[in-house]
Amino acid sequence: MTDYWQNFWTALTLNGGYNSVVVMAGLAALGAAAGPIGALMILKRRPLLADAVAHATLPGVAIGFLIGLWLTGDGRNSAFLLTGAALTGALAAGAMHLLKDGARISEDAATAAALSVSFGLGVALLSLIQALPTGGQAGLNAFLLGQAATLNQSEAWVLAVASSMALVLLALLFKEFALIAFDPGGAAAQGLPVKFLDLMITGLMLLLIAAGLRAVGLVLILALLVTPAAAARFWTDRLPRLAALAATIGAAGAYTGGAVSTALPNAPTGAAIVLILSAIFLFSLLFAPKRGAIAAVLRRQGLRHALRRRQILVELAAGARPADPKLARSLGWIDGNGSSTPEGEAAAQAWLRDEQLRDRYLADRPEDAGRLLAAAFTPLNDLLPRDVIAELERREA
Amino acid sequence: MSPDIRAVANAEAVHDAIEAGSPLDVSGLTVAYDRAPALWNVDYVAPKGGLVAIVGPNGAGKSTFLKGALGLTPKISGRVAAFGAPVADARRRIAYVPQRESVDWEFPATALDVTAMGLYRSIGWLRPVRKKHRDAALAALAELGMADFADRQIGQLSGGQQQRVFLARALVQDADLYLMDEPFAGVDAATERTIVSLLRRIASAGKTAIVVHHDLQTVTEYFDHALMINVRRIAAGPMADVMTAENLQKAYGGRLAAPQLAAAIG
Ligand SMILES: Nc1ncnc2c1ncn2[C@@H]1O[C@H](COP(=O)(O)OP(=O)(O)OP(=O)(O)O)[C@@H](O)[C@H]1O
Ligand SMILES: [Mg+2]
Repeated sequence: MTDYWQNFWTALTLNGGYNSVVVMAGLAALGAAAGPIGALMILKRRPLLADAVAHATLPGVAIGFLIGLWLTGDGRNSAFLLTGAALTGALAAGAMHLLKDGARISEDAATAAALSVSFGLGVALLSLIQALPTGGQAGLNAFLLGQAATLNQSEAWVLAVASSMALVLLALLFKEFALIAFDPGGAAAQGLPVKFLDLMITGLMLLLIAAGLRAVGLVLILALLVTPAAAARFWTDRLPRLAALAATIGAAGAYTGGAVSTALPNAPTGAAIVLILSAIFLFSLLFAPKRGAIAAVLRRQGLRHALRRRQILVELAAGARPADPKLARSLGWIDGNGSSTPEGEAAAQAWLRDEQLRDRYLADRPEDAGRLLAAAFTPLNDLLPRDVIAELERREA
Repeated sequence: MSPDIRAVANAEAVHDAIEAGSPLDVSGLTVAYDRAPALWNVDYVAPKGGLVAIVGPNGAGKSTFLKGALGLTPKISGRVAAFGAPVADARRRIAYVPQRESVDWEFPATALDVTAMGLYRSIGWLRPVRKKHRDAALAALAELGMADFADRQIGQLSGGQQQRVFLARALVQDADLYLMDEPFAGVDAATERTIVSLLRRIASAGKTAIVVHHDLQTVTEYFDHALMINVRRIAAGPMADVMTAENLQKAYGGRLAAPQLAAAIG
């Protein structure tokens, strides 16, 4: 066990040797670029495109293996494998773009068709390859689930350079990418080359998928594209921050996942990354301050409590017995016999006055109705300046 | 008219318009989506300066006219010029306000972010949005009475407020020609007044706004010119010449109730 920790720590702190450093840096860049690209795909409502493209790389890997075997006698040449993956991925992406513009079938159906056809083809080719009387097939499994620890030097450099390139392009064009995601019509009216930019986003996504294929695996690279953005959405309402946060989460997840899989040599990198990202997603879902689930529950309970309190004040002000004596007693507004205490009387009177001043204020400024209602449980004294309240009181008297 | 003569006539009209540099000059614009044409052979030369209403029934092709003129939908035939140049060369002088339903209001952006998008072209490629751009966007929002909402996520605005954000985005572009698709749809009386005074300011600056407008009760009050279409062009010109009982009958058939007719004709 201590060995594993040792290895994990060595990789995490970039002490694992030259190759490991390049792989770790590459993974971080991959995650940092994948996060914002995924955010754009989600905002364009096309996250499934990433799914289809990732799966469509499988037949390319298989074909690359066969061509490499045929030309060089060894199928494990990563140049052939990655080129094949990029080509069939691009083919699927191109088909999806054409379908989106021209065809009468829905995009979901097109995606499902592209995904199952290409993945099926890939699996069929793989089983064919397994039956061949040659070595090296085992290495192909890395393309499914990823094996960052076993990247050779050139593979590590492809990962690092391609991911960094994508990251730079993304940063340079992010303003325009955001505009075409939000309002393609408006963007075209401004003269932006919408189709070109759209293809560029898809192209960057394909580049990342191909670059990360060997290290993260084609099934799990999807998680790297989609999960950071989904998690980041809980924390912010603004795209620049969303993109930055998704990049950070993606980079952290990929980097740590890479270290984990180095420590446990048989652990697929993709799986480690997915587990880490899912933990971050779950944490965000639960604990994000404004949009998180716990915050939402607390907010709703706070509102319910305030409403029940207010109901008691209404009843006390009308001289009636509260229908919720338990809460009224715990607030100290009624005594054991159910009759109101001096505190209860005072609270009811204060509430009544607040209510009357509110009505008076709204009679003059109906346009503030929404804002006043949003602060229904904040005492008016805290909402309006003293002189405005004094004026309202003077007129009320 | 034979097609040849028509083409010549069109070419002459285009030529004249380019000489004159009309803000928008459309000739023979035909657009089709899946099957039937949505717009058939529409000619229109917009006046220099002033407010133009595009009127016509639902599905008449009003939105399609704007999109076709801007080159946002591929046209089957026709020519479009803006300020005496192809539209593609005049984009910086044109601001477009799409129908509000055309975007996703859950998008993670604030009112200020969306307004600043109107400046992206003048900011240019590879350059970030700076403070002076945000200040300009804020000023445009303030002009539409939206300064208080600048930092609100756009989905948390009411429909009328969203419409104002769209208008602020067009305003900040400081264009010479504004094309607006139903800016009055679903807004209350106060917002309607704000939009009308914005339009008046555009017109008094010598600029042109071409606005799809559905309400025949107010169209004569707000606008000076009209383009009436129902797939084909029915009429175009000064408001009084367009809003005749005969034209309305042609565009709307028997669908207009008597009071509407009376209000529109005036
Ligand atoms: N993207 C599209 N694909 C197919 N048909 C379309 C598309 N957009 C519009 N149409 C059709 O083209 C015709 C004109 O549509 P358009 O949106 O221009 O009408 P409109 O005058 O703006 O109507 P409205 O008053 O309802 O906004 C309609 O029959 C409509 O069904
Ligand atoms: Mg329309």
